[in-house]
Amino acid sequence: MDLDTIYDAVLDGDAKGAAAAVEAALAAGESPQAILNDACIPAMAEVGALFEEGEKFVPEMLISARAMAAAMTILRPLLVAAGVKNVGKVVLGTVHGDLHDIGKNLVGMMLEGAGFEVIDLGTDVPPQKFVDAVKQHQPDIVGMSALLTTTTKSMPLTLSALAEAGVRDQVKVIIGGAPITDDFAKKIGADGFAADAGSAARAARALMGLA
Amino acid sequence: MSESNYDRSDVNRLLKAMRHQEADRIPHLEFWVTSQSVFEYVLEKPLDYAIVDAALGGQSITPEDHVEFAGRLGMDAVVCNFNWRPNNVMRMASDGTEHYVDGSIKREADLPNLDPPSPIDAQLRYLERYLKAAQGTGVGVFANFTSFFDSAMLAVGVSDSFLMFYDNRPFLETLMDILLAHQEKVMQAVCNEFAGELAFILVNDDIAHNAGLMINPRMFLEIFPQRMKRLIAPAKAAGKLVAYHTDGKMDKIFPILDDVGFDIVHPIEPESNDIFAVKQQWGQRFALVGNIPTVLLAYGPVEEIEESVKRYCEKMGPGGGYVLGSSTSIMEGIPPQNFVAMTRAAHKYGRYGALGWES
Repeated sequence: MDLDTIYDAVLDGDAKGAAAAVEAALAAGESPQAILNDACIPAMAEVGALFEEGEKFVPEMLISARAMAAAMTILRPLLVAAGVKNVGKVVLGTVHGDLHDIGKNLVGMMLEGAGFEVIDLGTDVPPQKFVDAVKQHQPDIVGMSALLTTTTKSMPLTLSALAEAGVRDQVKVIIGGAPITDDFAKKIGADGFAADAGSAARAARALMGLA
Repeated sequence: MSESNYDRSDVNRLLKAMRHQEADRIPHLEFWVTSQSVFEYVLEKPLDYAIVDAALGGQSITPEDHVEFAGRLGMDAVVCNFNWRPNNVMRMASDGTEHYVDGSIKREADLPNLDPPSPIDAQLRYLERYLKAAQGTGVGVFANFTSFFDSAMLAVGVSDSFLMFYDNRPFLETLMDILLAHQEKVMQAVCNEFAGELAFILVNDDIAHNAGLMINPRMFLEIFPQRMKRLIAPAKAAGKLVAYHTDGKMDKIFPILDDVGFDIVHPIEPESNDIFAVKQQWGQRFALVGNIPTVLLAYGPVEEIEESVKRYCEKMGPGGGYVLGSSTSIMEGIPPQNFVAMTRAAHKYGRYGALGWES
């Protein structure tokens, strides 16, 4: 079983196939890191790229993320044991007053698929909770999501709270959601904007200075 | 607010624009207002009942208050909802607002537990009350029907339904067919009894997000067009204009809506569509409604709202085919003053013969 089989299984959203192919690759002596970096992450990157190009859609993204998760269930303990680091850490949440989580969850899946550790704070997250999470988890990136026009006001409030707590400079802040535009992101002083889950992982990697 | 004919409601103005003709001015229409404070501001009285989004199963404004609200604004029509959105699981956010979070129909065995729809006759009598309230006011009434597509996804739970398109599509389609069969009956009954009195028919759905269709086009075309044609058939047979609402990026969706037979599209979300380019490409085929960014309405300032409305009037008005309105709905959190500023600006800058000019 080669890495291409794992890549194809993740790309096609075949969770059982991905798990079986990972087991087979490990049995054949492939390293967990190679499986992650050379098969799983590139497959999810391709899913994101195809989503951005309009060739894949949300259901396909979800079943690929499910296949990735099946592979990671096997790989994670091995990667931890080998001391392999994530490419970065992201604290993610839907802002105060907003309970919508589908976009946020998709972004989380795509970030994990790109090799990030994701700390998901859930929905209706008040500014102070973002501040506390930054202090506790020391992330590289904070991601904020909002679906409702009227809850986007929580984004500048959270940025202010991060600044007042003296942690704004420690993190890059990326925002997204249906009513969010690049202009809005610039206006409130966010570091990045992602129009959709496919581009979120790419934007996060760019903020980290990764290719 | 009423000062001249330009400020008065006129359903014929609306219909003329929807038929791609110029009336006295560009019409203004909000499909949905769910803000108690906006209603109370315009009506200049406190309401003794709570407004909650009717599409989410809440109490909407009464027909009498709704028509008065439209009349005071010079808005040309009001909506009467024919909703069946069963088994939505709601939760209260920390700011006191209630939101959809999940659905409770997860498998075939749950189908007998579908929340029942309102009795058809009760819905028809409610429409009758709307029509009576609107009589002689110039305000038109349009009937809004929830769709089989997003109502099924909401009943299952949106995330779960996305997976269901691959894991158990027959179950999802069975649920869609149950919803469709009922809404078809309601549509037929409404058209049989009231077609002549209604301004137009609306189907309220969501099939897209800001990157385009929610599901792949091959699957979507197998599921959507034939069912949607069935839903709107009574309205088309009665010669009514039929409008469609979906959020999201529309470029690849317009041809599908064209094939189904829709006449009007709302709201062409500004975050993912350039409505001015859309008018160039699709303006002969569809009348367009909405697109004034709710972010602008929420945060203003008023001068920017007026400037934006003026620009829309100048660019979208010529030749008709455009109805001014917000890019989603008028929800709690939009300052009433900003909403009224948009309305006043439409009256001021939307006059044909003087588009974009204060006369």
